[in-house]
Amino acid sequence: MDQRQDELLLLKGRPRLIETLLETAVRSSAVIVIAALVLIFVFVAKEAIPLLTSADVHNEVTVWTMVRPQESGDFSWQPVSEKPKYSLPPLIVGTLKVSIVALLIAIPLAILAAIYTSEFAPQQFRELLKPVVELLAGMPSVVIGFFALMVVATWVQDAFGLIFRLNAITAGIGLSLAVIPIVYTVAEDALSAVPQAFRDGSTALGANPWQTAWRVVLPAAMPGVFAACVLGFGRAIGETMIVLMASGNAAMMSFDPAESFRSFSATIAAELGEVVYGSPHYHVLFFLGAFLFVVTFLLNLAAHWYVARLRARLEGKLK
Amino acid sequence: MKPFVVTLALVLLLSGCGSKTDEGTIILYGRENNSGTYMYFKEHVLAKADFAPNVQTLPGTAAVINAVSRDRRSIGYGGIGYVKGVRTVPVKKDDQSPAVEPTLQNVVNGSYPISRDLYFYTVQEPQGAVREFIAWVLTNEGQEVSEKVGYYPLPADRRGQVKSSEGQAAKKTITVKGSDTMVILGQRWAEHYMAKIPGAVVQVTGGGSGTGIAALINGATDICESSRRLDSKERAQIKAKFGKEPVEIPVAMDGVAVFVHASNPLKTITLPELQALYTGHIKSWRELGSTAR
Amino acid sequence: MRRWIKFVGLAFTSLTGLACLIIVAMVAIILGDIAIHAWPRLSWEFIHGQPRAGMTEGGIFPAIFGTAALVLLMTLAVVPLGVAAAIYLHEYARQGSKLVHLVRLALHNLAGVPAIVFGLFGLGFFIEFVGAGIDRAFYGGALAFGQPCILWAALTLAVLTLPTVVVATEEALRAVPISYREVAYAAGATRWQVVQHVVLPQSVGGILTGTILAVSRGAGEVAPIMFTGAAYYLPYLPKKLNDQFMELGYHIYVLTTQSPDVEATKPILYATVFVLLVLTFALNFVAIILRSRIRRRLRAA
Repeated sequence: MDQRQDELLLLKGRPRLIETLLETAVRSSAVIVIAALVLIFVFVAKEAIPLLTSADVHNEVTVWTMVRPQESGDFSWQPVSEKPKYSLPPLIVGTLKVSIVALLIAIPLAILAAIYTSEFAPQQFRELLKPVVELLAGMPSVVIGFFALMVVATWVQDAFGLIFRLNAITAGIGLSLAVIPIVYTVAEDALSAVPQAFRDGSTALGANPWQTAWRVVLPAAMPGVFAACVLGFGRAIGETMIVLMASGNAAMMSFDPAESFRSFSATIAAELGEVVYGSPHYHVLFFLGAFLFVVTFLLNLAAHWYVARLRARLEGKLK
Repeated sequence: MKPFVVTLALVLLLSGCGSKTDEGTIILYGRENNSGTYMYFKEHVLAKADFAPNVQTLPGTAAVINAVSRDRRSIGYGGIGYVKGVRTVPVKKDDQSPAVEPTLQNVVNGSYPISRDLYFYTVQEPQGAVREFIAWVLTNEGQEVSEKVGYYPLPADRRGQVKSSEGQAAKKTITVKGSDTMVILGQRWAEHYMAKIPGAVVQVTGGGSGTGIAALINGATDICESSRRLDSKERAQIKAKFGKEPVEIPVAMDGVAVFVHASNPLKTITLPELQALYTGHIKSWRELGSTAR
Repeated sequence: MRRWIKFVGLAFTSLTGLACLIIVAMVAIILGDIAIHAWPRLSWEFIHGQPRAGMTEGGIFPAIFGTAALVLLMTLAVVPLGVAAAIYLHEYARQGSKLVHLVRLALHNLAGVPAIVFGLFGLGFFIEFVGAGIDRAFYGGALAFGQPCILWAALTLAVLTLPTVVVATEEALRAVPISYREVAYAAGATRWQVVQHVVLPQSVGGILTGTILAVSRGAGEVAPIMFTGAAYYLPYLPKKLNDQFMELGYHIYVLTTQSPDVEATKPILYATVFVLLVLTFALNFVAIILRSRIRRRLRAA
């Protein structure tokens, strides 16, 4: 103890330079965090820009040709061909299709489980349950994709008598396993943040636990729960490995979840290895990546805003 | 409560619209567009037409075989070396020709209609360690390895463009990149070569012929394994970057097998039928004369 | 009427409990299925042997080594950076300042960027920009760092796991009671001395938690390393920073799609999946236990 005090007193005489340096070092690391995000956007967009500006690339593809139907009259993704065709609509439909299936499964399960954990479960159970659900978050997506491809695909095909073995339902089930932890964690945080006073007040008025949960706590936490869904959606549209392995990767323009599909991220992962640096195909893939980045960025901002609203609402009501 | 019931109903409804009506539908499996097998099939069987959009593309012949082995209504194509657990279908050039099984003799004597050479590409005449390796691959010892992996050795009269220059054994790491069809072959060659020549280092990665060619153009590999020939655009790119034409060295032969689920009784298939199938013009097993469901 | 409400209440409560059960069951089924198929193949030889006979025999040691090396490099990069950023946010910055707001926003968004976009970033920034630049400046244009290698893959993963480390560290910093700091300041310590002698020693648990979570995430992600350094078959272990490497997750992906003999490699595939799962689960488990201990302390304080 005395030795410690002596140390501190000795150090007191140090020049202030060290302190300033350390503070600068620590502040720069914070700046680097911001820089990282900016750099990601800059360097992905940088390789996507030629799609908008370069005449060479425009010989093969432009943003307009990616959106309008191809010469054959339909939408087609055939980048390796006599006449390369890049159509965005099948990719957009495919990505949305599987995300919706995944959310339809994940959101009810995750939110109900979150309600159980924060409202009904006894204390020890809660300590056990949260870690188990969070363990699911630690499962690598390649493992989930592997499981979906090997096991789930056969189950689903046999259960529903489907024609395509790899489809949006199979991939959606796998994807939901990746989405559940996120929705659960954020929703549970939102529900726990609702002050106990709300629950006590409701019970005092004669409500039983489920009425309290369903009509008081959940509505109060709704912005946070909604934010959880938005984040889950963001995760769903960006997930790569599960979809790469279990979707069939067929660029079909169909809203039927029992059919194969091709998603943005799987397209990038499957084709990036082949492209020659600087070719139009290369720029298109980076364009897809930039598109994904912007969409998930906007979704994250929305979720951020909802959580802020939740906090404000809870604090405002309390005051 | 209400939203949950609604969502449940939606899920059941949507799953119900999973097309189970037409049981004779054929499910087509194929390779991703960075694959040489994909390119070869497109050029030689589809006559350069586009694949139908509902062909499920998987990143590797093993994945295609895995999928076909579990899907009763499916058909797929891929390098002969991988075929296990599914039934290969003998191919006829057209209605009048005899059906030919994909076997060694038929590929080597040219009677199997969809057979091809597998290539090594380098950007210039192979030198030093790379030369030694390729020279060894073309010897009887090297060619025997192909058979172990399910490919076919080149007939002796077509080999030997690269001669070994004595005692130039590898001091450098040889990078081999490219075809997924060839990656196991390349890896076995690497294993045997490194066992034979201590100190030699050969590293092999897959990713598809297109990946290998891109790596060759980007200067990221010594040897590109490719299950198709370079097209004029790619040759021009190499010429523009390195000043000379790429060197093409056939190293093995392969057949592209057509396979179906083990329970599928399909007897044979003709090339025109294959073309119509993969461009989306034939849609059901009945049209092919099979009772598969 | 009251009986009806009670019934609905019971149904609702059990429904939510059922949801929990379903989630737990999903995890159990996956673990079970993989364990059953993997069991016959697991052995000491599997863990420390080389792959043989075209990946149909032998072990996966190079993949385990590659994963370990990758994750070690990543940790060396991300932990100092993440801890420093967290220290800034919690100890130095004025709460409510513009910079703090921006940093938190950036962290939040980094956490949501799809893994494949990180792969694109690794390719477009580290390999094509930084790597190519290094080659031009120090190697006269020869290909040394402008290609996929373990260094760039590790840095890409470091950016991906940065939010995890910062959040966990901040939580640990928050767990240290303010009174501890006040006492130190009162004794005349400077800000950095407080951090170094008072705050950090108390936060080691939380920093460790964040590190373990980051390691677990880094070991499991495949999309970011597919084009920044992972390879299918390498005859030697990575020794230099610009070597490529084999990796468990990538190996699983390649074996599933490109293995030579699907039936023969299935046992190895399952066993590899099992090894990866056990690794990530064990890490997560330890981190979660550490974290709940810290939270308990925070609540008590």
